Amino acid sequence: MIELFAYLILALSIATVFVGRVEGRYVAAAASVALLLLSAYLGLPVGVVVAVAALALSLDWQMRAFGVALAFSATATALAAYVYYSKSPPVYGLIALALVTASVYGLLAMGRTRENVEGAMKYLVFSGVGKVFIVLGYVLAVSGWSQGLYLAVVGFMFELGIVPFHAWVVDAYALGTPRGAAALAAFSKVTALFVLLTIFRSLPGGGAVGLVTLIVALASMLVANVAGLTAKTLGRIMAWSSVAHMSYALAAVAIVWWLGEPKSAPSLFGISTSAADLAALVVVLEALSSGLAKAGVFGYLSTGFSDVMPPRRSVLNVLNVLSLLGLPPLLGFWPKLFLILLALSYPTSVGAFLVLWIVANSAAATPYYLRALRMVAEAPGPVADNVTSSYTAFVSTVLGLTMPLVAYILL
Amino acid sequence: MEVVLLTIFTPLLVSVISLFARAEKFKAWVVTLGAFVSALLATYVYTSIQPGVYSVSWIGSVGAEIAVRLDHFSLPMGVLVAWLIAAISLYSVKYMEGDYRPGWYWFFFGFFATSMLIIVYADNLWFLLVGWEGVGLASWALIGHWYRDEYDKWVGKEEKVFGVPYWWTPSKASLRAILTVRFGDSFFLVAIALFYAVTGTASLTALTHAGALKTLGVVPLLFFALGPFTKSAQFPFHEWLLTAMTGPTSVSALIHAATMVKAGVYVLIVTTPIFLLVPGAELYFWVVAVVGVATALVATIIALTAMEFKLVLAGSTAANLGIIAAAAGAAGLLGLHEHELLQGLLFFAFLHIVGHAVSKASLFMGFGAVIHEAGTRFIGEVGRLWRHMKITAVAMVLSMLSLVGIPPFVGYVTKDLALENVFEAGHMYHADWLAPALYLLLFITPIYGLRLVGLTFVHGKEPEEVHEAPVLMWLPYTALAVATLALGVYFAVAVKFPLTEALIAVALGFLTGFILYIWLPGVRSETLRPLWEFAYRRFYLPILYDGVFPLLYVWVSRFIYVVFDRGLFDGLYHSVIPGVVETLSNWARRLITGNLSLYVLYGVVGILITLLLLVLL
Amino acid sequence: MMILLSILIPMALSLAAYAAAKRSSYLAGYISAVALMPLLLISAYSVFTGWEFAEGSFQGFDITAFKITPFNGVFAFTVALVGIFVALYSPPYMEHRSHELGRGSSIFYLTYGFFVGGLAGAFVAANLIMVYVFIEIALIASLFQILYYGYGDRVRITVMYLVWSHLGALLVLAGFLLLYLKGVYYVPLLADLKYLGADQTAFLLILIGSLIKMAALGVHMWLPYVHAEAPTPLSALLSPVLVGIGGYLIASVAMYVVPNAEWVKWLVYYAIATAIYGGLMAFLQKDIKRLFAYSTVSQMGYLLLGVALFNPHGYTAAALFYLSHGLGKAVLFMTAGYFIMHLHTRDIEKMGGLYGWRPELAGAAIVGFLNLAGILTVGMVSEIVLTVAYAKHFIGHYVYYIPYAVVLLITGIYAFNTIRVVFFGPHKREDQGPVDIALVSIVVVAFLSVLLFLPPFSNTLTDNIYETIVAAGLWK
Repeated sequence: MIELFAYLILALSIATVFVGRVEGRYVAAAASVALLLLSAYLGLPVGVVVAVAALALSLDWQMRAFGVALAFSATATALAAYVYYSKSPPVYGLIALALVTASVYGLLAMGRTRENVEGAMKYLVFSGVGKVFIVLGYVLAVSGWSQGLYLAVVGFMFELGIVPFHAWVVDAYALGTPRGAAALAAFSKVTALFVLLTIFRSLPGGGAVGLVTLIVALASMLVANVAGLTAKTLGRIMAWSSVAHMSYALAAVAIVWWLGEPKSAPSLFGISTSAADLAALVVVLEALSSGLAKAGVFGYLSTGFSDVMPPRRSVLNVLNVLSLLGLPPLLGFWPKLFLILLALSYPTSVGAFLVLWIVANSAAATPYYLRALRMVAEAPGPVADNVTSSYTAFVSTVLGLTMPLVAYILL
Repeated sequence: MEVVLLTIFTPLLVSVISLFARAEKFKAWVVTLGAFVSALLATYVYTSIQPGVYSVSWIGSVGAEIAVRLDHFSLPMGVLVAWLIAAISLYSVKYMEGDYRPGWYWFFFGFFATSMLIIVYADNLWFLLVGWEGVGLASWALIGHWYRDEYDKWVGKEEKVFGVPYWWTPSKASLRAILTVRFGDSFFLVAIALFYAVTGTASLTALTHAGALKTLGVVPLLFFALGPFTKSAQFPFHEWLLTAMTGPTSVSALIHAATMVKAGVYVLIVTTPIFLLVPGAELYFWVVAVVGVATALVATIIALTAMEFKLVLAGSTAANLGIIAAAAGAAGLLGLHEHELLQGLLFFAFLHIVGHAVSKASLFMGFGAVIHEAGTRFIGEVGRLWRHMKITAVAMVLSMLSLVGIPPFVGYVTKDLALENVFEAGHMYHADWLAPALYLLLFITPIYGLRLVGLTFVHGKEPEEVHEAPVLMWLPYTALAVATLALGVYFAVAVKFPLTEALIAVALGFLTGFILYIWLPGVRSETLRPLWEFAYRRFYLPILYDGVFPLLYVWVSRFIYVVFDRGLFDGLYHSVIPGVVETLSNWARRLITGNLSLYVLYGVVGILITLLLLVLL
Repeated sequence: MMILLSILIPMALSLAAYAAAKRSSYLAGYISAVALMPLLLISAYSVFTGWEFAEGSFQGFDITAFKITPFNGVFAFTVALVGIFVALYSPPYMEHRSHELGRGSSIFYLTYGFFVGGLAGAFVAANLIMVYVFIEIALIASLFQILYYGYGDRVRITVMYLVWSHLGALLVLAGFLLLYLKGVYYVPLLADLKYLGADQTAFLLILIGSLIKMAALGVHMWLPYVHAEAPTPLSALLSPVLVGIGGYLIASVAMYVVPNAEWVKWLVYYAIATAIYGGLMAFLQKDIKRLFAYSTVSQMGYLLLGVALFNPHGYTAAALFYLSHGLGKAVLFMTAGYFIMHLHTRDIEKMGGLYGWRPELAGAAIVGFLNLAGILTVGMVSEIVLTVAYAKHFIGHYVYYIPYAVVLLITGIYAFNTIRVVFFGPHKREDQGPVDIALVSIVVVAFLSVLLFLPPFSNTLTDNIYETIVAAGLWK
């Protein structure tokens, strides 16, 4: 069925010809609807969620020529998810990754100011480096070189912005256009995580690489959360939050790479499952919760870039920030819960250490989320909630409330 | 059962009703009415209800029952307490007229009455504890009744001794009282819980046969005794009773002379048969007896040197409580060997509760009237009152003779019977020091009595204009004064008229007192002055209670506060950790300079680190 | 559905209260109070008749499993009762506070229902994850109240509150998940489970998390700040009802995996130390709300002691302490709020002689203190039961009774000393405190705490809890 995506991408490429004449948002909206239908047809809930996010963004903002970029990035994300769920060849995932990088670059730079371009450039450079590593590592690994996995992991660290490869994230979020930052969070990172999952499934775990990845991920979440504490602007807070969330996701995968399946399989809502599936669930939920909530937060900013105080208030984004904080029963709570559950499935000493680390991180992160919350809720201007913030808040809440159900679908 | 409960709870009921009334007169009369109803009911219970234990269940899981025990202690005690309450209630109607806090006074008056009656009748220790806490609370409330702390309500003058304030405002006195009592109550509570935990029952009657008590040692008994000791103002916990004189005199008469402080010794008496079962009880009884004697001596000396009317009476109260406690302890000591005698001996101890209550209630009310009319609380500021307050003077002389133990007044009979226990116990256990101590006690007692009467009614500075107290006030205390004589005769006939060598000591004391304060007043000795000072300062015990203990408490708390609370916990959690994290945070954040080549450097460093880790692990 | 509904109704009606608050705080207060009635009725029915309500299947992982037994019913009952009266009390206070801040009171009423409903939910939910979810709901709701209506440096206080509470809750969650991996999905006490076998890690996680929530010695520092600076109606709920969740969790979950008797022993010592420490610190405070906050630390020591004694009487005492402390501390915090409204001070040295200013208030506050000191209020029942538990635990080791008595004495010292300093002494004011609904609420709660001491309330209450606990049979 993957050719359906190919048709959609082809159609979008043809549409580029007309972008000069039509406002890009219509193209994006149309493409989003198409993607929505496609995802529904394919039984791909993640695709539906992402497609609607793109639709919401295109309804809210003038996109000019970049509407196509928005459409491309959403499509790429859905593709990556589809590749993962349909167990298609990973190479399609890599294509999706390339596609999303290019389009998000465009979106980040769409304001054409110096800041926008600078942020977008950094994204492009580091993401590009990351992709090179990923492709190289993947190719090496499938051809039997054990170092391939290591290279691929380093690539993902670049791509996801894990400390110490995280510097670009802060600049990209803070300096890119808010629409670009929203797309970065909702599409680029989600795509990257799905590709990670695809590769995670297709490559055998190497214990040592897993351990190194885990250590780096743990260190990364700590640095991100500590650094976030004194971050001053909404964009930067979200950037650090993003680094932290990506670290949580990577840590989930790393644990399974390192230790393999635990002796007694963890159970989820009373049903026993494998650690790998649980880790995958953590990654997917982390991707969605972080991506959607950030899309909501950036999606309501009317400024040229987000390294400033938000000029207008948003009530619904309070829910998004709380979801990022990991507050039950919002969506952001569940990946953390499953991550802790995953950690505790392993021997007590390792599990307890991981849990304490994660708990300490979550608790340490609370002050900066509170600050973000106050920035959006107490901004001087009138309430500026729009389709994006409403939709993301709605999804964060509803998915969170119905998580037991969602978990069955996504597993 | 219902009648007994009605006896107990009528005063509480009316006092709750009084809360909702605005008119002061209504409050006063409704509570007085309730008190009289309760007194009549108590008399009815005494005459017509079959002795025994009656109960309804309460909290089953801790063995609490609402149980009353009607026996030869509780029945007369009930009558006595209920009638004293009624009499003093009547007296208060006039005495408290125009007071600024009538609602408080009358509520706690009724509340006190119920609590006290609970103690009297309770068979279940938890039920008793309810009354016990109740009287403590009422005592606190009424000592501090005049919460505005006016000078004329104080005990003591505004002076400091060794830097410790030697005056007690009502609010301070009430705090002292409740905290002392609370100290004892904590242990009392623990002891009751222990009894229950060990025997599975909290009923006094059931405990009398509880074999499981044998597994206890003497320690729980001492814990238990701390309750009565503090409540009955036994040495060294007698201080609160002296400063409790900041309360209205009616309160002093009722709570701090006739009833509440008796609750302690009453409980000591009724529990004695139970504690006989416990191994090591001999030590416990010795403690009770010795503490009693010590209290009696110390308090008598305080009464001898006090300069305030009520303080003399308070000291004397403590002294008599000591005598009762000693008698109870001695009864226990004797009962260990001659079990069949026990109830009789305990009854002697119990009788002195009656004898003392009647005399002391009358005295307090009378001197309350004096203070009320003369407008001073100090001895020596007013004198020769017999010219102005004839009825009061006569009543006071009668009551005082009873109090200090002159035959044939009731005070003589009961005190002598009580002390006989102690003499006997000293004899049996060869405690030779006991007898001289008791003789000394008997010798001093009449002296302070005559001193108070002499300096108030016979000699001294005659005031300008003082009137006899109103009839509503003098009626109760005169009636009680007459009762001291009547009861004395009755007890002498019905129980026993003791005639021992103790009478010689009393006679000698009486003579000395008569010479010093009635016949040849004004004899002073400078050589005795330091001794007097020592006693007048109440053996400097207030320095301990008002100076050393509070200071230690505050210092220890402050030390913990500064070092641990502010320093360690607050400092660590809210200064050090956030400070360190903030520094780290700024440092981590400032790595993001915007310089692309630096970022590349971080990437390279990152790769190197991961490689290094890969190699190492 | 009945239990779930009784929790959801306050949350749902808080939206109505939010709307109403724009017109009148009073209306919003009444709505908030009425919303708690179903919960009050259902929990009171369970507590006083011994009836057990259960809903949900308790099969597999059932997030709709709820249960009210007299034991957890007391907790829910306290939440509902205090919640109702605080809601009635709040309008004058919130009007005063909104006026000071120039900010409407609507956020307060929006979050109020979530806060109280979340609290109650944490007590009646049987599913462990749901317990955690409800705790967090309550946390966030109260967070906004402090953030928007608190005093002093309220942002800093909010952060402090958020970090500490979140840390505590997450540790508890981690402990729950360990149990979850063993196949224990429900609160053991509610699911009629027996002792689950030693699990040191789970025990420690839940214990430490709960201790942070309870503000036990060493991790108590957040509480004096938060309770002092929170808007007073919230303090009246935070202090007694929120912190007690820790005790409930230890009792109903952690003790089912307690490793051995050694742990129990040290927990008892620790509880006594907390009680003494809180009492000493309370004595020194000059800010009346900080004083009450430290007093809460002390009372939590009692509650913890009840649990740590690890016998049926101890558990009963813990539940009763939650009730008595809840009522008593609610009265006291509301009194403090009344002072803030009408005297504009929290400094007890500026008070004194206030009995004459408003005698009813003084009477109620004294009853509040009596609850803490365990004298002739429902506090006395809890104290008696606790003492019996203590005696059953230590029996012949008499030396251990001395620290216990010291605890009681220390409580008495700060209680009566504070009464003296605040209400007695020469008058400093000529005017009178006004009579308003706030005063009425204070007096009624004080009255209720006395009423619950009397039969038939005290005996049905105590005996039902006791029988539930004995039937739970954690002790073999």
